[in-house]
Amino acid sequence: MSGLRTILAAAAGLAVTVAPVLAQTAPMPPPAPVPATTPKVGDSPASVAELIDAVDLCRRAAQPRAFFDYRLLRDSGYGVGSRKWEQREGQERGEVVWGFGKGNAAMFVRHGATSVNCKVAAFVNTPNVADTLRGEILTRNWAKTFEEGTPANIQEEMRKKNPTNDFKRILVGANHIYGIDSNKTVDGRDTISITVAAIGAGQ
Amino acid sequence: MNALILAPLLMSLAVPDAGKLDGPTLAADTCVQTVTSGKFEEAPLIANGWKQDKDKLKDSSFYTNPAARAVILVGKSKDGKPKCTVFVVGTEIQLDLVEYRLAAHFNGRIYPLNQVATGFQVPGHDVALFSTRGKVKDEPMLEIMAIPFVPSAKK
Repeated sequence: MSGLRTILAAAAGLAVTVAPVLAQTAPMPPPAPVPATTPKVGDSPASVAELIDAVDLCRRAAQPRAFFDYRLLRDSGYGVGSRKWEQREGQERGEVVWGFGKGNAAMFVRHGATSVNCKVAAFVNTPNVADTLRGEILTRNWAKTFEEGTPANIQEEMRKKNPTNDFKRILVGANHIYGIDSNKTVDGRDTISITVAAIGAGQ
Repeated sequence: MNALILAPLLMSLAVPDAGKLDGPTLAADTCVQTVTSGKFEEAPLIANGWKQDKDKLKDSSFYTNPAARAVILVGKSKDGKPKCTVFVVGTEIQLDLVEYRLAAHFNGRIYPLNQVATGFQVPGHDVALFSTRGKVKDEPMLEIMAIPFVPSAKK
């Protein structure tokens, strides 16, 4: 790791010396302003079909051994909206959290050194959308219910540790665990989030 | 989740074009080619329209290409290996887009190292790529450095 630190430090030091040459280079053009009337990504409620498409993309892109297929995301037309580093408390390690979006679905990719997960988030106005999404994921055989997909001893342990948890919202697939959460924003809008976490030893 | 989480996405999103490589990604790809043999090769730079700049640093040379919106610096690391670095200046969201394009173009594993630095695996090449956020004259800048790297399993 010290070699890596040396590389990074050397690279950081170069920033000062390259300024004169960089000044000769045309800067990147500013992003085009968005007209006030243009619908914005994530602004309107997402349909169930839109959410399922995004979850499908998440499950195909998030793979074991912390691999995430950003090419798949790019080729599906997802734009990037944010990048944030989140330090793990008391640790040197952390994760980068990317925010992507397309249509009315936002996608947050939490990428760490050893694991990656992908969360689809959107405003919704469909009644019982969490139940509908749960049914869709089960019907497509992407996952089983928590009871069907988890060994009994692990179920027991998890129920002991989290007695108030609603395990109906957790689905377990061969390579992913799905978590579905409904919520409300402070201004009363309904939101849904579906987290797809890659598991397994890898391919 | 609340509206604050979605807020950054409500700004204009930067959407990469899958059809062709943008300047900084092509520059990074060129850098990979210049060091992939373990020795510095200038030919990929010349083939992609880069010209050596009159400004020089000790043991390092700048290459410029007006179409690339980036500058390349080639030199050697402390252990004598060739290294090729792309410098890109832009807004934070433009640099986010550059890193997204790098991740999609090379499409290997990525290694988030800390708040400013990310490592990229480069499939098909014995090269490591590091992107590092910095500032130049108070402008956000991204340094994308390619160095020869042989994974220990292959040594």
